[in-house]
Parts: sequence; structure tokens; C-alpha cells
Amino acid sequence: MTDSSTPAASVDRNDGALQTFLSKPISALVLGILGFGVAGGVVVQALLTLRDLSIPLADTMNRSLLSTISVVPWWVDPVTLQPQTVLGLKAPYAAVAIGLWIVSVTALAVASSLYWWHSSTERAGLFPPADHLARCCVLAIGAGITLVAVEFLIPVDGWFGWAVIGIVAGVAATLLPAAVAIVTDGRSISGAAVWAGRQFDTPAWIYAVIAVLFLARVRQLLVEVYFQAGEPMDLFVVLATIAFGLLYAKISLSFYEWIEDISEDSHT
Amino acid sequence: MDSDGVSRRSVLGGVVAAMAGSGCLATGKSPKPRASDWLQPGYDAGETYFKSKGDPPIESVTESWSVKLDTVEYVSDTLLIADETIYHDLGVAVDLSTGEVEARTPCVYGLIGFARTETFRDGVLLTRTDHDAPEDTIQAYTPTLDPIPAGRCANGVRWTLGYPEDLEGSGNVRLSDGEIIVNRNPGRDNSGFVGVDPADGTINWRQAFDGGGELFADKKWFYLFPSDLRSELLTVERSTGQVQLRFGKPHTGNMNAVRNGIAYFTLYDETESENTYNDTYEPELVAFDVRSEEPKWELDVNERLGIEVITKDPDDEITKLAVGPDTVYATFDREILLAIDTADGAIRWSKQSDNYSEMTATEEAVYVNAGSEVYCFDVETGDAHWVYELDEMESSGRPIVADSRVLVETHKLAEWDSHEPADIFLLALEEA
Repeated sequence: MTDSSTPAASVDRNDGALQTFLSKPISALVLGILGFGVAGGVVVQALLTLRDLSIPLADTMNRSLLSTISVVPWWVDPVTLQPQTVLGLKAPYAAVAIGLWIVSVTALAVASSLYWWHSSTERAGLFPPADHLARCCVLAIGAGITLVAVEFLIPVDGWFGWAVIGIVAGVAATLLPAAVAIVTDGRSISGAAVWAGRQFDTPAWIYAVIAVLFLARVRQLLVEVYFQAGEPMDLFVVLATIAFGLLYAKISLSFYEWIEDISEDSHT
Repeated sequence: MDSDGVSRRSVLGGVVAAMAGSGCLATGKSPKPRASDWLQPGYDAGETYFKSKGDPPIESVTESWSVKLDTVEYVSDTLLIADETIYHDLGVAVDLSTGEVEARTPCVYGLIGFARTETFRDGVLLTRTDHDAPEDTIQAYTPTLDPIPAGRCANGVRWTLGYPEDLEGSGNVRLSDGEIIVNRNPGRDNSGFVGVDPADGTINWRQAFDGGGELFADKKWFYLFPSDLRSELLTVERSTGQVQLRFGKPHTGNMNAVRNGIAYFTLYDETESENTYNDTYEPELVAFDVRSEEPKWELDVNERLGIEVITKDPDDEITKLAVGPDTVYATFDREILLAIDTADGAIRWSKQSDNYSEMTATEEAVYVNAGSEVYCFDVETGDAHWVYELDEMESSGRPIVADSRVLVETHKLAEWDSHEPADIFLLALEEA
């Protein structure tokens, strides 16, 4: 396990022809579009499979802001699987439903990792190391489950609801650059969280909270656009996931670079 | 009818069934229907009120338990039983064996039915959306009413009909053989019939038809008795979607029940009576054979029995039926109870009273609510096996046969008539 205070990105300057051709940031953008496009396709296929299995999906039109907050880049879905549905399913159907959700989250985490890895000046190879990828996926799945549970189990009406949204947004803002640090620096999840926590006493954290809420609202608005424009759902999910995923990944990267600068300044 | 995704769905369902292992995990519709279920099996989409399963009290009777449901001004007597739990429209779930209230919820409103599904362990409760919902439609609710996570009713909703793109509207609903049939949006652009998957609320097929009315179903057809025409019976063949208008004879009346291709109507002949100063109507029970498109038999109650059953308002549903495979049991305007041969309309026996109202029939007995009494009659002779006196109480709705018990909804006599809020009770009777 990599120590949290000593990034261990393996640097190989002989990147090969492909990486030479795809110089930063073009390569990051191209691979981001491809990655999020594939992830969007995975999400579409997951939704269609759930429908084909008669597992009900709820529309996301009237979702609360809380349910659209995420810690890593996420997909944009007009219909979604609900916790009360999964809890009531027979075991094999529940296994398929949860499996499809995990595959979708993993696809998004891989796409995000690709983008961040190719945005890094110290990248080596097309993909980040497998352990970096695995930790990013674990963070995405864990954060996703936690957010779904919070939204499902905690009453979020009135002022208490806004307080819950504020707390969740604060935690998400703290973790916003953590996923990038896991992928590019090879930090552990806890190490990345501690490292990202350095922003607490800086303006960066406030901006990060605003960014998280902004991204959550963008996700809501994209769904509203879908319901106004109508079908086809599959094309919408792919395009919206590319756009939202790239936006989210770029903002995460910007905060990562900001925190890095803060760290370097504090060391010097 | 339009149909989509069937083969793909069956393939995926097969994959999931294979995942379940060979018998290790139950697939298909589970939990299995029990003798206590109401309305089961087949959901009684023909309103036959004939219960073929169970072992209700016949020789003698005693109170098993009684429970207060609520205090209300007006009450719907819709009651469902699934997996030993009674669900009442007042948002109360009661344990069938003990009578203890399991849960009270404000979330369940307008109970339609209970559907067993391929995907859910415990099926779904079908309800109408409440008055505050943005759309008038149908929702599937988790049968576990309490507790609702975070206190949000939405956290108990498993699906909403037609979401996300085919949302608007509801109408008369029937559950039949694993399918929800809805006669949607009468008088609007997208009116017609839709067939809905109870597992996820998706619309499997649709059939355009401009009109609404009383909806019934059996295995082969579904039937609509248009409320605005009252001159035609509309049938739709379930396998082909073919729509036919039948029974073109102009009339006034109601449709009461359907069983095995026979539709039962009460038609009213306008007449004059010395006892009244306005038009009055005499009821006639008609068994209409959908296959031959001819009435199988017609029964003029007054003429056949030499009595006088009349009504001033044909919209009052004065006829109540329970339809078995061989016998139709009927009450007319609470005055008379008949056992009628389904083959030829012959009257097997009759009982006169001033209070027979609604009934449920089984292979061996007919259970009849009659004001402050509940009767159990022998199906062969019409003799009363027992009479249960409701102390200072009156029954409402149908007696419900649930395995070894008969359930009766009751309220105090004076409270109901005064239109004041009344205490509503549920009484369970069993063999003494």
C-alpha cells in the first residue's frame, strides 16, 4: 500500500507512440469522451436490462438535490433503480440489479481515471496502474452506496433537509480531489481523503462545496431537459453522461491541482 | 395489440431463473397463493365473489377476534388479504390469525388489489395515487407498510404506472391472471385499454377505445359496459385484441359479474306502480353468452316469484351476485336471496327477508350480510346453518372468506345513519 504522504506514481518517460501522438490535454479529452461514452453505453444497457427483467425504474424528474450529489463523476439517468425496489426483490433479481449498478459505477470510475491519468504530466501507459484503478472504483462504489443510503433513510424535509444537504455537500467537496489523487498519485483511499482534507482551512473548500452543489443542480437540469425533449433515452444518457462526466472530471482535476499547489506552497 | 420485448424478457428471465439454481431459490410468482387470500386466485376480475379455497365455518360459529380499524365519516369497504395479512382501505394492516394491527399508514389510499409478481418476494399492493399527487394514476406499494424509511410515502412506492413517458390518467382497473387491465382516460385523446405488468408497471399493450364504464375480465375476454351508452356490451378478446360490440338491445341497467364467457346484467324495465308517483323499474337478471352472442337465460324476478321488487333509480345497484360454476346467488334490493342454476336460470331455492345484502359463496355455503345478522346458508337446500347476531352493530360490504374464517366489517347502527364519524370494526368468525 502506498504511503499517503509519498505519492508513488511510476514515471516512465518512454510512453510509446500512441501517447506521444495524444499529447496532453488532447489525449485526456479524447479518451475522456471515449471513456464516458462507453460508460454511458454501459448505463443504458443496464437500464434496458432492468426493464427487460420487469424490475421497476422510477423517473428522476423530482429527485431532491441530495440524491444528485456525487463524489466522483456520475451518469445522467432519466430513470433509476430505487432502494425500496432492490430491498423487495427476490435474491437472483436483486443480485442482477446490484451487479448492474456496480458495473455502471465501475465503468464511470474507469472513464474518470482515464481522463485524470492522461491529464497528469507524470502518466505512464494508456491506463493507470491496476491498484490505482481498483481503489478509485472502491471509492466510487462506497460513496455511491453511502449517498443512496443517506437519501433513503434520513428525512430531508425543511431546514433539516437543507442541513443534511449541506453536510453531504461538505463531505463530497472534501473528497472531490481525492479520487484524482488516488488515480494519479497512487494514494490510498484514506490517505487521499486526509490529503484532500488540507483544503478545509482554505477558500478552495468553500469553492468545492459550491462546485458540488452546482454539479448536482446541473444533473437535475439535464434530466429536466430530457423530459422536455423526450426520447430517445439511450442517446440522451450517453451524451449527457459524456458532457456531465467530463465537466465533473475537469472540475475535480482543477481542485486537485489547487490542493497540490496549496500543499507545495505550505512545504516551501 | 402492440406487444414488445416479450422474447427478450423471457430470455433474460430464464437467465435469472438459471441463476437461482435448481430449486434453491423460488422463482415464479411467490409467495404462493394461500387459502386465506382475498381476492385470489385469479384476482376475481369477474367479481364472482366465489371462493373455491378455504375451510370457513359451516356447522357452528363463534367470534375469533374483533378489532377497531378507525373512526371515519365515510368508508370504503375495500379489503384485501395476502400472506395472512389483511389490508384495509383505511390504511390498516391486520394480522389474520390474531386480529392485531400490524401497521397503520397514511400512504395507502384507494386499494385496488394485491398482485403476486415474478420479481418481488412479497408482491405489490396496488393503490391509486392520493389526492395530493400530481397525477391521477396507479402505484405499486410495498406490502410491508411499516416502518416507511425516513417517513416518506415515496420510499414505499415500487412503481408508478407508465413512468416515465406514459404517465397520465387512470380509470377502472381489474387484476386478472397476472395482468393489470386499465380502462384509461374515458373521454380524452388517449383513452382506451392498457395491459400493465404488475412487476414494474410498464404498459405491455394498448387498445384504443373512446369510452368508459364498468370493467370486468375473465380468462378469454375483458368486458366493458359503457356507462354513457347503456346499450352495448363491449368485449375485447385478450389473445387477439379484437373488439366487438354485443348485446345491442337498448336497455337500462348494470353489469354485475362475469364468469367463463357469461356476462350477468341486471336490466330494468320501466313500469308504473300504484305505490309510487314516479317512474319505477323492475329488475331482470340476464345471463348473456358472449360466444353465441345470445342471452343464455333471462329472469324476471317479479314475474317468476310473484313478488314486487322495484327501484326508483336504475343507477342504484340493487342486485348483488355471487357466481359459482353451477349456481348464481343473487339478492335483489335486500328483499330476496335466490340460488339460480347457471345452465338454464331455474331457481333452486329462494329466501325472503327484509335485509339480505351482499354475499360470498363457497362450494358448501353462502355467507350473507343482513344488517345486524350474518347468515350461513347451505348451497343445496338454502337452509341456514347458523345465524350470527351482531350486538348493536350493523355489517357493511361483503363477508370475506379467508381460509377458516369469515370476516365482516361492522359499525354501530346509530352512528352510520347519522352521518357522524363512526367506529369501524373488523370481526372474524370461525367454527365454534
